[in-house]
Amino acid sequence: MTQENVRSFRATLTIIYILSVVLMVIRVDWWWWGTKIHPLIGGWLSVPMLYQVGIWLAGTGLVFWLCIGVWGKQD
Amino acid sequence: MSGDVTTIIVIMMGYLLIVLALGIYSFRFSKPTMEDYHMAGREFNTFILFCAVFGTNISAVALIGGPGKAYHIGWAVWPYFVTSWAWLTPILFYVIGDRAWKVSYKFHLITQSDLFLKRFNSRALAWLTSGVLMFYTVPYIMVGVIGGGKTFVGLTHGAVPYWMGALIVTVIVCLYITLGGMRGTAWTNALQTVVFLIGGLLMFVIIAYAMGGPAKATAQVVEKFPHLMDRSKFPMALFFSYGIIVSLSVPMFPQVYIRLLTGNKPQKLRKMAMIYPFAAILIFFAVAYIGMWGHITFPDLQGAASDKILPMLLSKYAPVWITGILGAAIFAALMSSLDAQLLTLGTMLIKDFLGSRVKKADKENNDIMLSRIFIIVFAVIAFVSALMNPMGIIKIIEWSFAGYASIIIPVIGTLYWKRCTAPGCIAAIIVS
Repeated sequence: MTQENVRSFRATLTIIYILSVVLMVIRVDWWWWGTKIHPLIGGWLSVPMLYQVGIWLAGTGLVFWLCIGVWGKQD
Repeated sequence: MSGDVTTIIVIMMGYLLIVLALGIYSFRFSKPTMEDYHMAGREFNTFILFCAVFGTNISAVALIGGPGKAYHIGWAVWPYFVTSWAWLTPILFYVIGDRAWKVSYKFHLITQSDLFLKRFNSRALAWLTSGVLMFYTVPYIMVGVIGGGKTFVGLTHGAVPYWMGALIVTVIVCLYITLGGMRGTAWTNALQTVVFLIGGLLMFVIIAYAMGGPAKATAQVVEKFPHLMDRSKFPMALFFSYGIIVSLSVPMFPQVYIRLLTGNKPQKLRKMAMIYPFAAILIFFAVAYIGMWGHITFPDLQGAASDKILPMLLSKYAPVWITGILGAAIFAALMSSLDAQLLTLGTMLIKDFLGSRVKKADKENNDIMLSRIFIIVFAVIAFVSALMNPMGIIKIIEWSFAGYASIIIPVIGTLYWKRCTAPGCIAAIIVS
């Protein structure tokens, strides 16, 4: 592995770790916490629920970025 | 005993016997070495590795504790686990698992204590680590035994008493682990992970349909139990901090850490990490809504009694034969962790505390026999403790998770930091 590749992987990893921390903080949707919730989609799913799905999607995106963009190439 | 209950018992016992047969069959492929008994020769492919790790990770939390907690606090149970652990833990599988696999493969290491011993040659650190991990694993084993007892009671309306249900699960798990070792637990976990993932989804569909669909069930929750929707009884600080603790602790579960090292290549670990978030959301999303909607049908359950909500709902809404099959899915979830925990305790005791004595004697067969004896001893301890019927399942795991998380900083330091020292690791564990 060249020095340039190592630097590139480290930069990518740093971004992934920082985004992980951000996601862990914003997953707590304090602005909706304890407020009255009404289902929005299908009489079932509400906005905070969809927001949490969004957090999961973003986190899963980070896993794929790590696995394909760093781990896969590193191996 | 009614005919319905008999049918349910027959189906569940049939499933348990299939699992037992698979575990015993794996014995035919075993070799009389410690490496093979505790690591299955590090030969797993992606599918078996995923099932071994995910099945071990999930435990009775998913199908017993999860719905039980959702019964009291609502839908927020699924993001409680899934919007942190489901993706952060796979990232940690890279941070810890990839490097730990390479080091462990090279030096034939098994446990976290082995890793510390190899790097620092500090017996004190190795013993402290194993002591901490065992201290938090023993109560965690109870979760599976308690779950088994409660599932039998819930599905058979008490025809099979709690103690008998707990005993049946304990005996069957003990039988196939003592014979099959890691290979036995991994093969059975492959079956059980598939069963509980599909079973969880089917339970969601059946119960939602029986309650008039998700919209109707949710409308009743909004009207009668609004706190389950607005999360007003769920502390926000707990949601935040527990997400971090769960994510950090899972790779440090001794039973998960050891399984991370059983793939035949590091690439298997990478592929497994990509499957993880999908399986996690599938199971927790389903059980959280089932637990919340269960409040409508059974509104008066107090405390840990809500752990039985899923079997109770199945028993009320599902046809008898489906109840039996889906009951088996609940067993699949709890047994897939129980077996791994028992095997890991045996591994740690032999490798970390009795290792030096064993090497001198150079009798691997004796080691394996000792492991089997310790597994049975731990199973008896877990069974007796479960009879005392302590806290709810989620309470137990919250306590254990916090303990496991204390090991992660020393492990990362050992794997990545040149200036890391044994006293530093000891201080980190004690302070944590």
